[in-house]
Amino acid sequence: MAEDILNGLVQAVAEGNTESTVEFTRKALQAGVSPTEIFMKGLSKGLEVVSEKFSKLELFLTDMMLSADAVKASMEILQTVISSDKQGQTRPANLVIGTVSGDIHDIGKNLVSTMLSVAGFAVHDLGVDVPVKTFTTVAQEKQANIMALSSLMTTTRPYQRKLVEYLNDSGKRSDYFIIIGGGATNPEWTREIKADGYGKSAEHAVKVCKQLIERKASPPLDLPVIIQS
Amino acid sequence: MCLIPFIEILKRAEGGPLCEPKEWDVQIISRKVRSIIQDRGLKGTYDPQNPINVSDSVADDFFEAGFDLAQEVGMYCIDTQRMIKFEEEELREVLGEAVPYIIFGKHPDQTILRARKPEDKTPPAAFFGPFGMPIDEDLWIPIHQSTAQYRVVDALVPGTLEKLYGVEIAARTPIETLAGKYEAILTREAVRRAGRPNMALAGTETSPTEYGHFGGYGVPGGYETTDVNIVLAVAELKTDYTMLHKVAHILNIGAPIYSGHRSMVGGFPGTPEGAAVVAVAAAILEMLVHQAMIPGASTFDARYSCNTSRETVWADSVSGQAQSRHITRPLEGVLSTIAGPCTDMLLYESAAIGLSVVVSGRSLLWGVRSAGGAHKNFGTGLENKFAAEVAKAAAGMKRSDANEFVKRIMPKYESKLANAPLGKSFLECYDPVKLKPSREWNEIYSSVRKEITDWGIPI
Repeated sequence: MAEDILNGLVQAVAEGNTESTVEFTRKALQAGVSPTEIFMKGLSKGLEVVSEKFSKLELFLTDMMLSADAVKASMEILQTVISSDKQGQTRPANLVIGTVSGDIHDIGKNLVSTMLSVAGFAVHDLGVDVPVKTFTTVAQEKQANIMALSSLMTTTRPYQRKLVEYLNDSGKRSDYFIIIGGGATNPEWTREIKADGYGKSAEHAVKVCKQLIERKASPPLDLPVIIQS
Repeated sequence: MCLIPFIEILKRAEGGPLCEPKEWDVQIISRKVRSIIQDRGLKGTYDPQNPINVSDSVADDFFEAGFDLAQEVGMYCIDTQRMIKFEEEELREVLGEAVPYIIFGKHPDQTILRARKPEDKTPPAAFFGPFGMPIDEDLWIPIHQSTAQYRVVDALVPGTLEKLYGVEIAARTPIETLAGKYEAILTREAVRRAGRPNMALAGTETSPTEYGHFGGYGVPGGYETTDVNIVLAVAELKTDYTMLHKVAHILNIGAPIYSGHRSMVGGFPGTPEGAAVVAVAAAILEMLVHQAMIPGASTFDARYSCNTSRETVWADSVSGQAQSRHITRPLEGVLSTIAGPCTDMLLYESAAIGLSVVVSGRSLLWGVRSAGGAHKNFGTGLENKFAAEVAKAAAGMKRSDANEFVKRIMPKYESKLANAPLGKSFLECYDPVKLKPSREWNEIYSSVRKEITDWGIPI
């Protein structure tokens, strides 16, 4: 019974069907399935299906955004019943994401934002052309753990460095993990500016964020988490 | 060529129908594209077994689908959040305005860009170079000269400057404005040293905003009206004040405008069919919104950040043919590869997309964008030489023959697209003084060149 419900939930997430996702989430709770299990065996598995299908072009960006909306709706229900005992669970992560100042490219950033939402992160998407100050202000307001910065151009990626420098200068560097991505970035640049993580693709970005949250270490990391294959 | 004056375009950008950004991406683009594909029976057209479309009727079907999309949605202005829309008559009228050729550069190094059709015998123009990749200031001249020295390359597309006199260049700062002209000065010096002082250049690559463009294009000592300018639209079918500023500036100077757009396979258009339809719409709309004499509308793979996947080569071929069969202007095509220099994969990718672009009727090839254009100094002249040789050899080639060649090339690299080899940087595979490739890189080039020549590609 529980297994059927969870399989239904996987399907609903993969189809981006918010109504069904919410319905299956409620059914699972009523059947006594824990929120953790609902997330891991329902929502997270749905994410895996979505990722797999995207890599084969069986699903596209719009579908992923619909799946993200479905997962968000489910998470809102789960949040109300999640136990305060986080043992064994991935601790919740709050993240701000945006494309840096001077840059309006957003497709990759939207993909990362979507996949992070689907993966259970609380994502605050700041959009494009985001000044350094806006990242820091919103991150503080939302009590974010991670700042994710996208840059598609060589001449806008300096703003990723500027954010790191600003946090160092204001004594707030140890409050946030900083991950970067986008066409203008790569592992060498990540090390150069002393960011904490780099993901080559949206899937890699999700893995980086998960690793950062699961680690015991605080920012800044001596060696960044780099995932590109 | 200003059928609709630019001031009218600006009025529509300020007063067109309102649309939220997410509504544009999801409701307007994504759903409308799917609906058009369904209504026009184009679903399932993508043929993975044949990466180059050989059917004129399929190309024409995609043209009509793209025209429908252009008419129904127009182009979106990000800054005003309004749709710039056009009547059918206006779109048909601009299609009727031919631009048979444009001349860039100056004698004796000028390049004539001619409008082409599929399987056209007229050779395309090879606008090649480091193509936007970050380049160290002190390697700028040798890297660019290493491409300019090859006569088979017609014009030079620069990389992007990271620093100006040692100071990091950041968008929208005054340094960006200074950098625009500095890029032009350095690039012109590179072609001078290659013995081609009047070779056409493309600029301003170091202009994420309008500032670099204002600083570099049309200023004394900077890029001239005989150089190609760059107005890049944002996917999908978007413009903004930065682009419109550039258009206004170029119109003030009186130069022909090139506008590029990359629709995403896997993005909001979804399928290869969707990306092809959006590309056609983009080409039509650029002629009006950006007043482009050279529309550029190609496709890109959102998964791999290149355009050499099977799906994207197909989408690019069908949209290229749709455009060239119905638009009599020089059309731009892009070679955006993901493997790096000193790898055979880079050459195979270049050959595959290059053949597709040329036989599909595009006039101007823009490339090669080695290693995805993301790694500093990972560009050399040799891949550009190779790509130009293949492009010229493809003039007059039948689509069916090109398709057979590409079917042989693709298995050599497509399984590696997700983890493409980075290869070697310029200093690792080129002599920076003699500007000769290393033995290793030269052997790779010679081997791949011989291989495809033996197949019958007439290099």
